[in-house]
Amino acid sequence: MPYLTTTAIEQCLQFLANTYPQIVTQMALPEPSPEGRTSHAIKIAKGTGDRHGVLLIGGVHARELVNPDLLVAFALKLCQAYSGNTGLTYGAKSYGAVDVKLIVETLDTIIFPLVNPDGRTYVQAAGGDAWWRKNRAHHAGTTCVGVDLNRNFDFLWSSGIGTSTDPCEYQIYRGPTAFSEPESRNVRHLLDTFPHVECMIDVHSFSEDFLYPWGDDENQSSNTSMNFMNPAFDGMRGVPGDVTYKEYIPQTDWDWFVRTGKRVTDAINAVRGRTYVPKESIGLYPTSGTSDDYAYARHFVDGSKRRVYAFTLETGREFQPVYSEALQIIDEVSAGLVEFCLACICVIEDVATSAKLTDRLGELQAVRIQLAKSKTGRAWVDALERNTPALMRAFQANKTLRKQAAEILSEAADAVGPRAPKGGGISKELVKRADDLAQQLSKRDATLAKALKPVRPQLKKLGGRTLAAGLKEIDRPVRRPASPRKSSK
Amino acid sequence: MASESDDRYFVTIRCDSPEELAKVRALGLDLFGTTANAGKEVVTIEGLLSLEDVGRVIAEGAEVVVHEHSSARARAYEQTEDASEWLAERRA
Repeated sequence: MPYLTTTAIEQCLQFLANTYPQIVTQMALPEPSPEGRTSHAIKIAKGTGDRHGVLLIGGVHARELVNPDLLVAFALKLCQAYSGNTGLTYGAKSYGAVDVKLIVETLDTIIFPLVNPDGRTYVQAAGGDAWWRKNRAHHAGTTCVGVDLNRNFDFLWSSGIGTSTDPCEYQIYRGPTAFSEPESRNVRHLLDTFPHVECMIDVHSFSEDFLYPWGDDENQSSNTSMNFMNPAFDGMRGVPGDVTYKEYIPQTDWDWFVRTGKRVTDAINAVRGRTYVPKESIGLYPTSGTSDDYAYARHFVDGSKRRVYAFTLETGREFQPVYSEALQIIDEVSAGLVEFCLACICVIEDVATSAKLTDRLGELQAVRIQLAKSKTGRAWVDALERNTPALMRAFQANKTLRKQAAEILSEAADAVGPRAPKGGGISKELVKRADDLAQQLSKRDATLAKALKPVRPQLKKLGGRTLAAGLKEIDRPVRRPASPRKSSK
Repeated sequence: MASESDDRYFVTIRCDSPEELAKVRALGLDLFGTTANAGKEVVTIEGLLSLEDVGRVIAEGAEVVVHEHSSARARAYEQTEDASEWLAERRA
């Protein structure tokens, strides 16, 4: 079975919309390609309301053939599993029907599998170039063709880091202006049209890496003024290994990227034992104008936009693997995409929204930032994220538990959030109620019982203390009593 | 600079340092950025180069290991215009 053509990919999207109309919506992107092709994306979702969005895009670079097929196959299996109330199995990695249901009923999953249709058509054409990477825009006054779409996004576009200004450059010509190309504008359109998108992956090939921002320079979390918007640092960025400039990233975001990167690569690697690695985009090769940095940078540039946790996933070990290998890549990466979707569901937000506490989400976010300052707090956040599917299941099955959780969240925001009285502590009553909830959750679900076992005794140490003092107490190393010396007699 | 009409080969380039890699990058060749890897003594990167490109890289002091001709790894022409069979296999 060979690779899908541009036409066949469009047929697949139409098939999904026709076959699963209850959960799939097909959307035409507004900008035709330079050769006049209209692209489509699909949204997979059951229900409406204030939900998180996940955006998955592929086919930006024309020669990386496996990824549009991969995204179509992922969408197909997800729809099939939801409709049949079954789980998903990829090699040695499985997800239950409840996980599938959670993704479809909690998230808007938006899939744009082929961003660069002209490029793929040229790669697959007789007389084309199998190794073409760019789009097929013609440049006036030259015979040269194509812009590297993943250097055309508006992130440090004019810096020249890892890009070329030469329209005849074969690979990394950035285009005449940021967003000069209809294909990159189509991606921006999706981010603008679905402002609730908080997670994104741009799927590329190859190298088996899962890359998170930044791509222009190494990350740092200590100097907020050293950032991509500060012109004082223009000309200093893009030198890996130097100390002159490193790109600012809030520590909590960095932690999320690392945790989620590990979660997703663990899922991929579990399928057949490959060794995908999460890492900072820059590596040895700084870039600018990329989709992931642009998507993540948007909320720094405009505070009214939501933060988008954006990754680039580099699949496989070559651009065009034999199709039997491509199918294995499709399987393993699909497991990673399921894991990524689950990682983008926030149980706290879900509980708060259901209890009409959305106005307190900012305070709860502040509590999370406090937690991230301690080893124990980080472990709790990690455990919360890893056990989100089990928690969501428990709260969906038992409304009383959900109500209890919402009340505890509200009181926790009062006690330790930004509006808490200075020096005020966490009441023993609140700790007891949290422990009661933990006990009930543990009884319902063995996974939760295992996750909560170390947390429950720790929670008790918070009683009567501020959050910071309580976490400090828990983090304090326990000294063992010295063993009695034996007499030398 | 490579172009679509050239004969090209998959290669691995071995540089002595990240600085030497930066010089090779400046040649504007088709190098695969995410394959750049720093070992204990060498920095390697993979790419798709014409023999003329290979000469330019060697002139910068780097070593080049030439693998297959590009056609050996090209599977772009193995394709299906009809989605129905592909979908049927995936759904099975």
